Parts: sequence; structure tokens; C-alpha cells
Amino acid sequence: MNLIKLVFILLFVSPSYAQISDFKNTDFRKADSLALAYKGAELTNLLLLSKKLTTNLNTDVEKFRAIYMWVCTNIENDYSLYLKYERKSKRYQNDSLEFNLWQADFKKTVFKTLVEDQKTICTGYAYLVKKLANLAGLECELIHGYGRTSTTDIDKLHVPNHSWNAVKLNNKWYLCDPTWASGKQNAETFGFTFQYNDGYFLAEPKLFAVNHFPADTKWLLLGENPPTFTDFLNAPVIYGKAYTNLKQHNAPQFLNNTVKKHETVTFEYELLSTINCEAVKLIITNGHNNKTIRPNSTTLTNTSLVLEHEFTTTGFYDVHVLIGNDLISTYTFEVKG
Amino acid sequence: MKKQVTLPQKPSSENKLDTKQKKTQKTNYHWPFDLETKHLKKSFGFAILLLITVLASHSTHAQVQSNQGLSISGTVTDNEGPLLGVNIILKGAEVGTTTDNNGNFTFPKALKPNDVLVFTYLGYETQEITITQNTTRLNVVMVIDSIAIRGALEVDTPYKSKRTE
Repeated sequence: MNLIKLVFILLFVSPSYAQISDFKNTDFRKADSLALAYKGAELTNLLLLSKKLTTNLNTDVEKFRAIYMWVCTNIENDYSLYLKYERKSKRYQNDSLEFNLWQADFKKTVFKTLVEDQKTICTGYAYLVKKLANLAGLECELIHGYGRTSTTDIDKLHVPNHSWNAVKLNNKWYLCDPTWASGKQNAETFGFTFQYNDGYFLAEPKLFAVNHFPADTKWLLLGENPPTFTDFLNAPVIYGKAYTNLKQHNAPQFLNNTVKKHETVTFEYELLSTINCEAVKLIITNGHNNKTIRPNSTTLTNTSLVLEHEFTTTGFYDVHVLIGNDLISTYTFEVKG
Repeated sequence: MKKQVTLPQKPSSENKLDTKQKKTQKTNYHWPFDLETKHLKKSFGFAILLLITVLASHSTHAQVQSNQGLSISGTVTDNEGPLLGVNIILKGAEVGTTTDNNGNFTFPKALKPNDVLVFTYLGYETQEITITQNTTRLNVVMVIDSIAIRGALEVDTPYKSKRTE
């Protein structure tokens, strides 16, 4: 009996975070091929679309996968709509009444664009995922909050700027970000390219919290001692490829760091799968010169990756971590004498 | 249901059976529990006949109901007026329709009480309406989903601190 109790306690009390590895034995090929089969389907009949995408699938996670994949591979990011949003949200940032009036009107434009052109901005993605999942009988929420990318000006991050989803599968909540998973905006041409990133599907909550902070902190899904908003603002910059390579980002904890000359700086990560240590590189720039180097030491124990670097000259540096060609994260270092 | 009760009590109304029974009159005859083979056959035949009658009456009854099913029409609006293109589907089936320019619809299939119609429209809360015996016209007011639109873009431009610019 005691053994049973112990097993029971271990099963339910041990802090296991909801993540994709819970479904490592699930084959998503059937769900993905259904999403592909209905590529280009219209958004005029959501119930039917949801049904087509899910009826032949047996598990909730596969049903959700088909819906999520369909949205990520069929909905484009609308840059002009985004610019309109940015302009107006700036204008009304101190006037919530005007903001709400504008939102009521803007919402209609957004949904019209979504149905007619299958283009949207992030709330549209997350909204559509929620709507289709709910119609398939799945519990799914739209989460509002703060999203941080390399170009986010954190000094201006006063109101929520991003939306994503939480979905309940086998009685556990999971996180995903369909907007960022769908593709990328070209910084020069502003054109959108579909480029599905699987890393944002049922992402590890701790990694997700590095660049997603929900307005309601219960959606961090991090139990005790969750990070605060200040922790989030001080966190390093991580990129889409961090989600395809990392399970966890452990150190450095901050974007901006101050170190002494010849002090050893340590970078610590938990990888999703093992890599070749030689693939790890640092790009160090002081604004004038870029240099790509191997860290002083690279240690890989199972999937724990530890890098060490020593700055030999004083100055201010941006340090980018790369695995192969994948840009993972960025930190700044002020090196003092 | 009436037939089931009245028929066994009045076997005389079934002429053929009645006459045959008279020819082989027996003193200890307790219909329908007469276990003598000859009589058993007859009782069995009678039971089959009864069953067929009951089944037939049942199926006619069902047919009548579906023929006289409820023809539902209505209008879908939001707080500003009629909505074009609202999707209406019978829950659990694939039959459905959409509203026209004036927000009007006529459901293409006759419905039964307890059928549920699902109204979906992007940007609005999904509504489910259960049909009752008295439903003929539905005036549905859709409510806009109370969400705020936000947008942050995914970029893979490397971060550039102000100090190194």
C-alpha cells in the first residue's frame, strides 16, 4: 500500500511541466497530412472545417495538431494591418476609452481580412486556433500578454502586444504560439514567407516564459516561484530557432551583463537532442567589428550544454550564440578593467 | 399501442383465426399458453401478425413525424443589424445553410424537437439553439467576441544593443 501511495505522490506531485515530450510516442503525420489536404479551405464555414480536420483522428492531441498546423500553414501575417495596429495603439496608449472605440471598429476589419484574404495579425491566429479547437470539442484559450523579439523596444512595452494559445490535453494545459510558428516577415520587403517552426507547438513553459509573459500570470503554467514581469523584461533575447534546439535556457539569466576582464562567463542550456560540440559558435560584436569564435570550452553531458568564454579586452559587446546556422540567443556584456 | 392491447382480448375480430379455433375446440384451452403443438403454431402465427401490425404502425408513426418535421427559418443580426454569411449547421450532421444579405435563412432540412442548431461567424461567439416543439422562427443576435486585437511579429534579425550601434 505504501508503495502505491508513493507512486501516486510521485506521479501527481513531481513538477513535470506540460510539453511536447509528453507526446513523444504520438505520430503527427496523419494530423499533418489532414492539414495539408485541406490547404486553401475557406473560412466561411468554421464548424465544417473543424470537423474535416479532426473527425478521422482519435486523440485530442492529434485533433489539436491538425487544427494548429492548418492555421500555421494557411494564414498569412498581414503587415499593413500590423502597421495600422501599431500606429493606432501608440496613438491611443494613454486613452483607454478611445482605444476601446477604435478596437471595436478595428476588430471588424481584422475578421473581414481573415475571412476574405486569410491574412491576419497574431490575435487572429490565436483566435482562429481557439475557435476551431472549441468547435472540435477541445478546451483551448486565447492568452493575451507580452511577446518579446529582437526588435521589441522594452521601454515601450506598457500594454500587451501579443496573443497565443493554451490548450488542455489529457487534463493538462499546454502552450503554443501559432503566430510565430507560421513564418517570418522580411525586414526589408515586408513580405511574409510561410516557414513553419515546430518548436512553438506545446512548447516547454519555462523556455516560453523567456519571451512570452501573459497578462494573467497563471498562464505561465510554472507553478511555484514563477518569473516576474521584471524578470521577463531583463531576460535575454531568444529567437525562433531557440525553440527547435533548446528545451531550457538556464544562463545567463539576463540580457545585459557586467563582467570583469578575464572573468569566465558561463552559458548553460538544456538541448532537445544531442549535437556536435563543434557546431556551437559565438558571434561577438562591438558595433565596429564582428568576430565569430568557438567558446573557450564547450561541454556536452547528455543534453546539457555548457559554454565558457573569457573576455580579454574591456568594452561593450553583443554576444550571439549559434548552433550550426541557427541563431539561438543574444546577450550584452560590459567588460570592465 | 392501442392495437397491442385490444387485439388479444378480442380474437373474434380476427376472423380466420377464430373459425379455425372453433373447429378444434378444447375444454382446457387457455390462450395464449396452450402448449399443444398445433395450437402453439397458431399462437405463434398470431404473435407474428401482432408484431408486424405493431411494427408497421410504429414506422408509419415515425414517417408522419418526419414529414411533418419543423421547418425553421429566421434572421441573424448583431447589435448593428443583419449579418451576411453566418453559418448555421445541425449539430452532429453536415447539413446547414448560411444567411443572405438581409441576415435571413431557411434551414434546408425539417427538424425535430431537441435538434440543436449551431450558429458560427468569425469574430462572434458561437451560439447553440435547441429546437422545441413550438419553434418556427428564430431571431438570433450574435455577440462579438470580447477580445482585443494585438500584434507582434516574429523576426530573426539579430538583436542590436543601443550601445553597440
